[in-house]
Amino acid sequence: MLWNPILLSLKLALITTIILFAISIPLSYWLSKSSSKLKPILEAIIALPLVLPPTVLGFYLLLAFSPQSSLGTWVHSWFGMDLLFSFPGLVIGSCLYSLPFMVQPLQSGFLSIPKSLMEAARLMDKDFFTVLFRVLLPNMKSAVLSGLILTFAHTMGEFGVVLMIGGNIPNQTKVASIAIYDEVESLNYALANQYAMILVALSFVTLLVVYTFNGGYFKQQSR
Amino acid sequence: MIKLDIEKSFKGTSSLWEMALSCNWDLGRIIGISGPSGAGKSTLLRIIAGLEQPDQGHIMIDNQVWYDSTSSINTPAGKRNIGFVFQDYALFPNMTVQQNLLFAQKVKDIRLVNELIEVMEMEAWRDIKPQLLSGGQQQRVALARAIAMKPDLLLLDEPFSALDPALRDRLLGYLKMLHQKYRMTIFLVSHDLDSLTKVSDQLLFLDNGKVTSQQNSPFTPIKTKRCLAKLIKINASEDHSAFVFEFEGERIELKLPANLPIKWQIGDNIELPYG
Repeated sequence: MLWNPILLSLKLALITTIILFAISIPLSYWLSKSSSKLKPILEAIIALPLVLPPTVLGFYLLLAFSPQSSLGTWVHSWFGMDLLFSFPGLVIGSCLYSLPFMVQPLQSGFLSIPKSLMEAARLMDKDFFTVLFRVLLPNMKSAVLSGLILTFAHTMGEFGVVLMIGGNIPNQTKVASIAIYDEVESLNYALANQYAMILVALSFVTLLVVYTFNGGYFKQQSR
Repeated sequence: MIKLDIEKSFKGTSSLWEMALSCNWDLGRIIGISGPSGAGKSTLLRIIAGLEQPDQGHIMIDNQVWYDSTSSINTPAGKRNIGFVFQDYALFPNMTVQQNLLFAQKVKDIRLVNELIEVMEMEAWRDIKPQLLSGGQQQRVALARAIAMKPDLLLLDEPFSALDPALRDRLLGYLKMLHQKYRMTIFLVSHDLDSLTKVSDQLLFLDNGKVTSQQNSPFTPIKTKRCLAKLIKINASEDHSAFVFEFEGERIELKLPANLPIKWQIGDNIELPYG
């Protein structure tokens, strides 16, 4: 019972990190290269979860995922499932909420690669995926690591969005942060403390990994 | 024959900078390009390489059209078979010296990579990553990598700018030797006229995007006759070896970097450019 919310949080964080990594590579690459007029608008939208109260994002997701909404109706008719108060809904909410934590380090990483490296690879007639996996990503390891760890850690600590769209369903949406809140509400402080200690330990280890590997993202941000 | 007739303009902070060049070059030569900063030397190399596009004009090499604004032809940079030595060397930091050379090749040719590593005396750093090498060593790796691609054209953008004179002469020696071995056309951009005249067959001077002068290098005339000259004396110093030849009663002195693997001995008859 103690470990179920922790395992659910880990599962949510892992799936969210994998999905966001796949989405953020093309997105952050485009943001690092583009001079489009749409770029600042897109950057502002991506960064919104950094400044918005999680309950605001959660509120709009609640409306969007409800069975009465067109998205909720479409998902139900096509996939036979509801997004509200379900694990898939939590994954989508987490991806939106943690998007800037993956995109921004990766964008900084792509910007840190000298233009001449790309041009050298271009002259060697390498295709985009070869350049991405053999040249770009290996030379921005600290940015990739920062993105992965920050996204994972941020999703682990998610509360407001999960509470709004996931509720508190054991084994489905009752993640660690919700479990702490639930146990405190029930005045069960001992169990709440155990959950909290586990989250503190996990968060400390993840940040320790970032700093040990000389996290380029933090370093660049502090310059 | 390389035929180039291009125009390109850039909007500067206060004025419009315009480049207009019309040049022909024979294949297989070393073309030295010099001129003041902002003359358009690097831009010319980048346009030849396909990294930048002219506003209009055409570029032809050996009857192949690489760029033609009227028929909208623009061969991608990767299809031009060009080796480019960048000012910052552009070596891939995550790869070792050997991996950098192998990665550059479309068809892997470990024999050529081994040969280049041996010829350019890079055996000791074969498995070392570029950040651990000095500027001069990185320069050699960049040159070797460009040649490992078996390019038709080799473009070098200010390759000697950060090197001391001794190292510069050593690399010029390598360049000359590699040119003789692999017979490619080389475009060499440098501020250093002394270096250019040592290796170039032709010199091109640019200023403000225009050709101000184009001439054959005084040291390597275009219409070269060859003669068999007898080596009569070798004066070796720390940096250079001066080889003194005799041909039809005339003495010819040839200075080469000391570390080139030349095995000439006094009394040998060596074929030399003459005239």
